[in-house]
Amino acid sequence: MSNTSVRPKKREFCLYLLPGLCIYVFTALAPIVMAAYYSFFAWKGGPKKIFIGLENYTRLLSDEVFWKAFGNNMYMLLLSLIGQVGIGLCFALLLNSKIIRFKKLHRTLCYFPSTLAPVVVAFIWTIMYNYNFGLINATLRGIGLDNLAMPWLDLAKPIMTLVTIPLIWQNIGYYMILMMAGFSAISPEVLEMAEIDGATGVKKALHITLPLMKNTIMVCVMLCITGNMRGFENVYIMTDGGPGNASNLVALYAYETSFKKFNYGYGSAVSIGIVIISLLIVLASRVVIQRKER
Amino acid sequence: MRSLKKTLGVVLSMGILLTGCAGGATAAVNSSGSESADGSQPIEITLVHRYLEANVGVNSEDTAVLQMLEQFKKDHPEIKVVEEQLQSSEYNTKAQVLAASNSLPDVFTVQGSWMENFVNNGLITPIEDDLAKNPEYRDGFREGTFDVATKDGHVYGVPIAAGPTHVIYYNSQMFADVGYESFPQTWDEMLDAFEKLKAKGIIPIAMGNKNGDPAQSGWLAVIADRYTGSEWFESICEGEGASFTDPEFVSALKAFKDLADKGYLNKDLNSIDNTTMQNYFFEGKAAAMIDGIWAVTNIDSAAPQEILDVTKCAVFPAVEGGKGNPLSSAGGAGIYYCINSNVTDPEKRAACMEMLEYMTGKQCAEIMASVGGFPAYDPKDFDTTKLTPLAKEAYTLCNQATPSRIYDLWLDASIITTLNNGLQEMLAGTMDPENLAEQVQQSYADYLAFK
Repeated sequence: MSNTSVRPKKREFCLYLLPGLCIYVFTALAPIVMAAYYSFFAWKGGPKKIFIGLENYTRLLSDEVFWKAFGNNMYMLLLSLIGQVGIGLCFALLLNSKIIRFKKLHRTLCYFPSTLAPVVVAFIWTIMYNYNFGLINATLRGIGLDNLAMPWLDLAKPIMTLVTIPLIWQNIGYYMILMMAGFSAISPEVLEMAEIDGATGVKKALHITLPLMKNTIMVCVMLCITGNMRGFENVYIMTDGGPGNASNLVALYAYETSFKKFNYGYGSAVSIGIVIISLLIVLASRVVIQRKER
Repeated sequence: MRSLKKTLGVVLSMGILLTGCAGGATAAVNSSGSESADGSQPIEITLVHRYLEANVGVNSEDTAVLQMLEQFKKDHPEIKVVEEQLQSSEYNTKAQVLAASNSLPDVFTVQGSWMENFVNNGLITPIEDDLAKNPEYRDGFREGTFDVATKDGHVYGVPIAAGPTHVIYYNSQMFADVGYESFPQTWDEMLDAFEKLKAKGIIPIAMGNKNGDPAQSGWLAVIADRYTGSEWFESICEGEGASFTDPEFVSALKAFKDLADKGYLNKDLNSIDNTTMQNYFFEGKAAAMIDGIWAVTNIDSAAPQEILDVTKCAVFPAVEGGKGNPLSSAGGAGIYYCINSNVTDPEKRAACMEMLEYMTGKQCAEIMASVGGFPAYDPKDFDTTKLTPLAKEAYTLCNQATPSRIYDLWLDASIITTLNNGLQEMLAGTMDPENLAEQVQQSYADYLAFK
């Protein structure tokens, strides 16, 4: 580095970091540490707490609802990886190719759902799924497929797919923008060279663009994983985990345990469980990626 | 070292992303409750409750309580009331957080199912001595309305309303069209009427069970009571041997599931809320619906005139071989005003009690009854001229009905959540009544063991 003269001193570095660090400690680190502490107690709210050691955690390990919710999270993650990152990538590739016209319009329209609050998206889709006056059933009835009109959000089996669709719809634009940023980092000479060598369309995308975008894609995958582990809003609004526990998610379950069953001790244990599992998943995916790099 | 840094980075970034859920349980709210008047100042009472200005004229309880609170403020300018109004679900969350951080306001509402927990944690103060100073007020309440708030001989709260959670509002015209001049008197007749209504393409009876409560508090509590009788549930509450796997309770679940299986309930019952359910009824899509007594005010103001004219009230009929009283409906007082146990200053306590008398006493009861509510305080002979025909009918029905215990006021929240979720699954067709009974029994046994 030649410009060491403008580099601030270590002490200044720390000073600049301090405000951000304080906020972070207060809003993130402290609650997690507190939750970890509470998870060792039987605590139903109020000043009375009974220390019960690891009992909450042994209960968590054999809690059917929690593991069902975790399964739902994993299913949602799988769909989101395909739907959000996958479709986002396809859209980005298309927008970068020469086939598409009105690129700015398409880009704006694709990104638009991402500007909406999750609550709004969930409400829109709840109305679309409505049995009597929802858009989906109205369309089906309009084209004479009356027997296909369903009370969509009441169907226990496909419910996870149904609640994931709005999530995908909302987030495609976000990943698309990230991918497009990744594209613009690829130097145009490389692409020109490929074209001169005869690579076009799909071939160019598969052999040149994608390998060069690997890091961007990995960031997207990572964001998608963490985003899914805290999935909450849209399911909370659309079904509140129902029917029964069919669309329950781990974060929703933690909320339910603490604020509906008023079991704060166990609720904290559930939250800590989520943190641990999320860390394991993220670490596992990093290991997989790094091994591939070697 | 590099990998350590990376790990740390991952941990930190995960931490940021997960704050939302992990921090949920600990995020404390520091608002009201910490403020207190210093010696020379006039008395200040902090009050947080679940009644909303926006619901005045929509809900009978809100209308009466808030009107009387205004009156109290006018009559007692020397007492400063710092009030916060919250919608009931938001109120539940906030009150629980305030309770967990021990920063509840001076006066607040507590629902029956929280009572035991709040008492055990010493959050609320017994008020039987304060009530004894004003026997006329105390004795004016209907019999049994203090039951849920009474623990070990101490009274912890003042009831507000006592109406049933189960009233069948039905379109008498539609029932007359299928040959029933009034609501069917036996279960089999009712099924027959439903079958005929269904054949005409009408939803026989609508349910809006999205948040999981209605199926339990408005429906099952009464259906089950028809089968088991009240003693069974009292035995459950006291932990005296009754079990959720008892054949009577399972029969009740089966009868309930039967209604859904035969298509007598709306198909989208688990995904619509109460408001949508009422709309089905108002639009003539449904021939009947079940809601609490408090819905009268809204039906009167929101239903189209031609529907309102033919709307009548009923309760579920008796079942053959059932042990329950066919006139009973799940009811009794559910929400109580409680006083924080840190309110020890006698002058302040007196002021709180005075305020509660305004908000729950005779005048409040008269207002509530006159707009179609069912107050816990018996207004005796009040001015019925202002009552709408529907309100009058509902009031008479409630006065006749013996209240049976509302499940979610008497059972622990963990049991209720299991039951609510299970009922949703049972009505959606993904769980058997026997399985549900076992699950509820399991969570009941867990609760008894923990207790």
